[in-house]
Amino acid sequence: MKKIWVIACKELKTYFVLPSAYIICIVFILFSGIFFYNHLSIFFLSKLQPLLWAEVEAQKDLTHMIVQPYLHSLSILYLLIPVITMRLFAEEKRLKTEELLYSSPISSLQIVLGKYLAAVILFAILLCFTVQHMLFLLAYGNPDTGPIITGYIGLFLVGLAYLSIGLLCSSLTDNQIIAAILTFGVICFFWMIGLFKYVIPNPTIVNFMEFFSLEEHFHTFTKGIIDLKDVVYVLSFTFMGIFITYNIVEYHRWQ
Amino acid sequence: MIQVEHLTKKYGDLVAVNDISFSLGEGDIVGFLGPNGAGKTTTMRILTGCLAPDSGNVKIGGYDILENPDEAKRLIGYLPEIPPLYDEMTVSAYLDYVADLKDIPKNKKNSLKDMAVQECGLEKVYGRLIKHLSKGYRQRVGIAQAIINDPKILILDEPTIGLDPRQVKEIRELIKGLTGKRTVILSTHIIYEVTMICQKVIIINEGKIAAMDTLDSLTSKVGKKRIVLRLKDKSDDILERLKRIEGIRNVFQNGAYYIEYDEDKYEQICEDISGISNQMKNPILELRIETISLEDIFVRIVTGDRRE
Repeated sequence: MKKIWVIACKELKTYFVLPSAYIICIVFILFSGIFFYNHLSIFFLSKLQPLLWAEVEAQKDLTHMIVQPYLHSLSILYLLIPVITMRLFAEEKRLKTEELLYSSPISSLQIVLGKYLAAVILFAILLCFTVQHMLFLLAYGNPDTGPIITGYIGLFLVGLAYLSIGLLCSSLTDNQIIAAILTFGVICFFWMIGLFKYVIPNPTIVNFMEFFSLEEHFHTFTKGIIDLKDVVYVLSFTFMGIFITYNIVEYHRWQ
Repeated sequence: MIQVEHLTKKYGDLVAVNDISFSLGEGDIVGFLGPNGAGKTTTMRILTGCLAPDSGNVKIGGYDILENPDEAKRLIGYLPEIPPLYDEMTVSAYLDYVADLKDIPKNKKNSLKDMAVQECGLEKVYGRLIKHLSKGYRQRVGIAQAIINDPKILILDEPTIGLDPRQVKEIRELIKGLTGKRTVILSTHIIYEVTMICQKVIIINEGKIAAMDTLDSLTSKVGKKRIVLRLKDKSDDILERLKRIEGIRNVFQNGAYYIEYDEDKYEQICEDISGISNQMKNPILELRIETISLEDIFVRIVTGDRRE
């Protein structure tokens, strides 16, 4: 555990020594702020316009009007994941610094977990930058706290799954850009796969695709529900990602 | 200290290391000599646990590198061909990180770090970012990284490559100072470097050990004379006939014929050679005497002709 932490600390320091972490933070804070402002504005506008208000009265509350759409729009954070994970293994390979790791008394699994942990911590820090918006809602209104908490848990868990994809893609190449594009592609695939339900008439295939779509699983969380099915799916997805990465790293040493 | 038995490593069809066995004791300073692509780096990567062999055993201080990797790796300091440096770190932070990676206990960390900094002469650049260092200093940081756990075995892969002559001299002196009780393996294709630092030489070629000897016995022929003969046409027949001449001890063909001979029979040998040339209507283009250098011995071993 100590060695995992050594690796994680080093990676975290690297994030913050290089401008990458700051750029990710700034971009994300900017966008999350714009989204929050948008949803808030729509909420107030609808209150000012009685006609529209009547229409949405069935939903009426803060949870439906702000919390849920806001949490959904926070999914944009997932698009930043390639930037978080791309350098983890690719850069070590490019600079040949991996030899230092491999010749040190540290196992491949510890290396993989250490790097993953660093990415998870940066991701969690990014999520924390959105909490103030929820605190603002809690201070001036009374939204349902359930969907907020489960929504954040969902955002975090789905993030874990995507981060493991990023780690995996980074271990495949020595080029950061290729790692990032690959991660981006895979994330988009698992994000969008649920959208096929609108074009594919066959319900079996639709069910199948919905099951694999991480977005669909995230959707349940924003409703204030923690379904064991979703948690198990997301965590096994993460586990698979890390497991395959570990095997790729080991393969490179045995090839 | 190091036992290597029947080490083999293939990359696809290419056999990088082919059934290599050797063993080194405490304090041995060994030069790994060989042309580029001979399998030096692959062997070193296997010894340090970076790469797993296809077959064979490596024991470091009694620990098998695959079965007890952590114990074995704690005994080793390794400087790869490209020093594994992180540009965005300062020298100090980098050495801290390496010390943590190598399991150095907290109470020893500072003293070992100071020792490495001092031995490698890094006091001046201690707080600087690695990306701002010159190539010579980067190499020094690489060496500091290798000795920070005060290893019993030091493995250095081409430590002077790409440095300017002054830096090469400095790094060589630094390495010499590090030997002491340590077992050192130094890979290089610069023969001169081996004569300066090492006691033993292992010459590797095409994945195999071409020669393993003490430096003294390998260099015993240095300074002796040999005849270089160049004829218009080359044929095996000539080689055989040359070998039959009285007073010629050995002939080795590499472009020209290199002839080792008894110096007191020089004139007779020259007559015989010109006789053969006339008989075979194969004119002599060049006939001269040269002094055998270390490079000649190396080239001969590597090209496979090592008949005594």
